[in-house]
Amino acid sequence: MPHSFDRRTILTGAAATGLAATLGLSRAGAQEAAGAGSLTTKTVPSSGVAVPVIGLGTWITFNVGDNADALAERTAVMQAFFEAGGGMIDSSPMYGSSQATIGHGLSQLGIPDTLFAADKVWTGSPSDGPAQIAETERLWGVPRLALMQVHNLVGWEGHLDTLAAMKAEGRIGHIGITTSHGRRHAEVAAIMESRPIDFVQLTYNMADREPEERLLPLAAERGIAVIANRPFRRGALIDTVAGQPLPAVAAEIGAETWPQFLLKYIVSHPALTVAIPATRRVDHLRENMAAATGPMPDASQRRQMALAFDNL
Amino acid sequence: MLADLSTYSLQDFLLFDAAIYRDLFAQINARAWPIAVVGIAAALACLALAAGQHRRASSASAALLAAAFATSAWLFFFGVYATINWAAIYPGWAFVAEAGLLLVASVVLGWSAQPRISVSTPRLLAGTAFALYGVIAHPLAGWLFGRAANGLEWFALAPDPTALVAIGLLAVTVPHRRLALPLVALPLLWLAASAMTLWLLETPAEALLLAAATLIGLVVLLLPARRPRENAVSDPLPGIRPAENAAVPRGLAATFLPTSPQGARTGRS
Repeated sequence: MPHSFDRRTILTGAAATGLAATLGLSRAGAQEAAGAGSLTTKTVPSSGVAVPVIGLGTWITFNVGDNADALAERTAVMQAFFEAGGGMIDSSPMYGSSQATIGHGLSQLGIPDTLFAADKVWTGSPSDGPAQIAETERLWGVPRLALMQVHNLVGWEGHLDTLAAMKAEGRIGHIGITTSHGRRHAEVAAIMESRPIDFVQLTYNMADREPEERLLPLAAERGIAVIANRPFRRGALIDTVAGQPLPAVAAEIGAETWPQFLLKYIVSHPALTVAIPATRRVDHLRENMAAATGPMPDASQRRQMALAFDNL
Repeated sequence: MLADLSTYSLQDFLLFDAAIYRDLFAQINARAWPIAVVGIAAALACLALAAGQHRRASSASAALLAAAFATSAWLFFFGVYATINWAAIYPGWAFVAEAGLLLVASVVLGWSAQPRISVSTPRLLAGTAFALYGVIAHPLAGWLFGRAANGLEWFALAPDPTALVAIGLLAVTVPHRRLALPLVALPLLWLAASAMTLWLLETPAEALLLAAATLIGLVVLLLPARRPRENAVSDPLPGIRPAENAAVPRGLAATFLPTSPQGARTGRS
């Protein structure tokens, strides 16, 4: 079923990107102030492509196999995501049927202009990489992936060579590496310093703030876009704050709920490009996307937010 | 690398949620429910054979279980579980191997003179009850835990009841622990893994029930198959009369080789 997207939202994001370039904002994390109801975007430093700061992860939530009801529900989540102006959807061959679920949704909805298709190569043998990437493209049903990352640094040296060649040929838009759970940060930093990557994906949330010390400043310095995975620590952070009153600073930044509070903290870091919360519910998706609207916390407000969270 | 692995929790290896996992059983029931009906009927028939001390009870039960493990591997692991868990093929192939082992056991048990499990021994009574639990009560317990009626797990389709019934049927038809324990090793391992999976899926009641059933199954297998007087009769295969025992190979061969064609036909112990 073809779907009509909110073109105004898309154009707002594109216009904001151009404005950022005009104003000469920093390459890393050029942030666009969102108008009422439109999404805040940031630019990928290496390409200037604008991406809404809230994306969509698919870990666990999109692994539904052949469950027809679940496939329809995830398609509804994708529809709500695109209606809100969403861009990045991230997946991996490791995530079971998640890639096929995305492909199912795109076949139902059509491929919107805003889609920023991000996936990963995940095999120990670099020689198997091209075939896996081709299979990923087939499952998504897209002609070209916007971003291909090396999943959890598995076989990263060989895969990065492959990905760099594919990018040079124009077969993929960007390349990157991923880690999670705070693992192997020293190795990630070494790759960021030595290889020409466009993206790094890592775990960053209000409870896991270690990247603020080294990796996020390094990303800003090297002009590398940053994707934050596990923004809610697989829901554990939401459980932690459940029933707690929102700190006063939440009203100042337009966070009406704890998930929005948690997300706004993440995406307001100057070096952070996009957070990818995963959900199976349309109402949660809309709540997440609302975190990309309205004012973002400044440095002082971020300190207040961290302090409030630590004192819970 | 080991230090890296230590940063993972077991839950990090789960790629799916409980609702999606439960739906797998609805999918295989919709596709192949007649297999479950036939399987349950055949399992009850095997229990009747065992209760009647029929000489084909052992081989028939092993053959039925071989078929059940094969269908479970094909329909569940390769058919639906692999769609959400790339690692599902490994237990799937293990179930195929178990099916092969049971098939070999069925042939061997058909040839050999098997001592029967005495009527009214704890093993026969408890084993029968345990097999019935696997055939009927365990699937229905899922309903109590909120599963939809079309998503219950049944013998010969779903791996848990298949493994549970295997323990019960082998307990009542194969008196020798040396033969029974290797045959139930994989079912026991699967049940432990399945209980862990259910626990990580945050369905603790189902996990604890399955873990308890697994432990009870192990205890059932360790119960004596013969009355004390009968156990005292022979060595190394209890219950076989001395005349038959003289022809029995010892050691591993005693487990898998037929005792004697004559003994196989006597059907006495």
